[in-house]
Amino acid sequence: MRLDSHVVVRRAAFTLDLELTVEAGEVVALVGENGVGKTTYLHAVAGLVELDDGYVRLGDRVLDDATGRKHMSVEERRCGLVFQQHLLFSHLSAAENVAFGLRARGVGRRDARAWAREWLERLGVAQHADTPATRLSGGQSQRVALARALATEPDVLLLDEPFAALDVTARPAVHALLREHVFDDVRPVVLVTHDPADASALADRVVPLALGRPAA
Amino acid sequence: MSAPAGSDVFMTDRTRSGHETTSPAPRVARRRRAPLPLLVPAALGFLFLVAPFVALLVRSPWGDLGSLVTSQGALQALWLSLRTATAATVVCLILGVPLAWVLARTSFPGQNLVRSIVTLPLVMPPVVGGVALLSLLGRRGLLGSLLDTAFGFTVPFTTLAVVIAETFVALPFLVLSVDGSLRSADLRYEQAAAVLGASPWYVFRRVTLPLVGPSVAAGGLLSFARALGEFGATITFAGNFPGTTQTMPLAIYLAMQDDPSTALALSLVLMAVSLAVLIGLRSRWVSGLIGVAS
Repeated sequence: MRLDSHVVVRRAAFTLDLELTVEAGEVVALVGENGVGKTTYLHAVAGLVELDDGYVRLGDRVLDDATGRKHMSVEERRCGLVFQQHLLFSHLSAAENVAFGLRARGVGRRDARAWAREWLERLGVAQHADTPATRLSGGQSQRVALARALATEPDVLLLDEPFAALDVTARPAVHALLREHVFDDVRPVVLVTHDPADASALADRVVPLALGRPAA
Repeated sequence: MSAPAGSDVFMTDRTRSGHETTSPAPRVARRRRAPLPLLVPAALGFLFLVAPFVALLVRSPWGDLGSLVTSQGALQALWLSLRTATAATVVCLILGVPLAWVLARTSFPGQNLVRSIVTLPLVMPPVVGGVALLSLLGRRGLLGSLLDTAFGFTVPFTTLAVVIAETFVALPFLVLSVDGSLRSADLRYEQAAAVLGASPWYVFRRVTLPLVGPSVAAGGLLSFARALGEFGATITFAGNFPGTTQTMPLAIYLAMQDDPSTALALSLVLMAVSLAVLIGLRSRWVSGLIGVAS
């Protein structure tokens, strides 16, 4: 699987114009100050933002093609997006959050639940499976959000500032977690962060971004 | 009337008291003495609202209350009122939640006009609503004449007409409440659900509805209360037949002519039901849910 994209999104404050190809299993970090369009890029790939120009291809599927006026709907794209604020559904437990994507695709309740447990276990939060999402700590909710995205077996993983909600001492553990249980040889990963240290520690390739364009 | 955020209109007081318990500062600030030019009208205003209820309580025929309230006519009217108001609330929920969703989540030409029309029954005299319903569904009405010739079926002066009249006046309460809460809800949760592969219909059922559930509950309770008290549209469109269209408000009005003590007793019953609705709106259950949603 390979992510092949040229994303052009015009905003009042900036124009995002980024050509980015991520190979199977590659981890690319987009690094830049707040407001340069990093999140906009992730949302464009996930389909939450429409392209003004360019294209997004994932494997042999065309998700977006501005010239051909193609825009695949968000729910069909098979993108795993972990939001900066995690956005766990507050009326559901951790396990129900992880099972959500599977249930939405028609997987039966028991199978979805078993699968969700497995992912919670891999990410080290199995003991919180029945905890309401609102009662999880920042670090726990991040792991649940990761599990929720991964449980749907997405074709690409998009991580938006995965360390923003964590205190500094928790970072090494999350780095290890991502390397061991989240990154694999197949799925391309785009990681957005404003911290160059996190980027170089985790990514195969760092792409600095300044006001919508790759920095020199 | 460009729709106000419905839930805000109805829930200001609760949010304020919630705020008070969490932070001590405003409580101290609110303890200051009110200036006389504000205090006097405020006290008068409160008295104005509460005095009639006190009079109602004082004048109520407490001794005969049991027998008056359980008389056949009273029970019939109460039972009819509860049935029709419940049915109207159900119809309001089935039609009103989707209507609120379309108003809040889509954009189309004339949307503000649609929103104004939805709120029209709020500001219109209910008796006008009754006349309007008759023009549509009456035996000689636009639609009613068709129903009459095609199926020999007439709506006015039936229990169905009561439900229709009550729904007509109660629907705006539900739509406003849910529309306001949908528009202030955090869209990102719905986006997160869509990214996970959920269809728009699945997102609505599993994310949006739980998110605005408290407003749906509050709007439903308000609709029920409004339907229960409906008088003008009902008597115009459905008439005043004991057992089929004579709801509590109609029975009270009729009793007032020749049997005031029955009217007082029935009024007490309606007042108790309204109080129950009010307590429902303020209960821990509803406000707890509201706390989650906001």
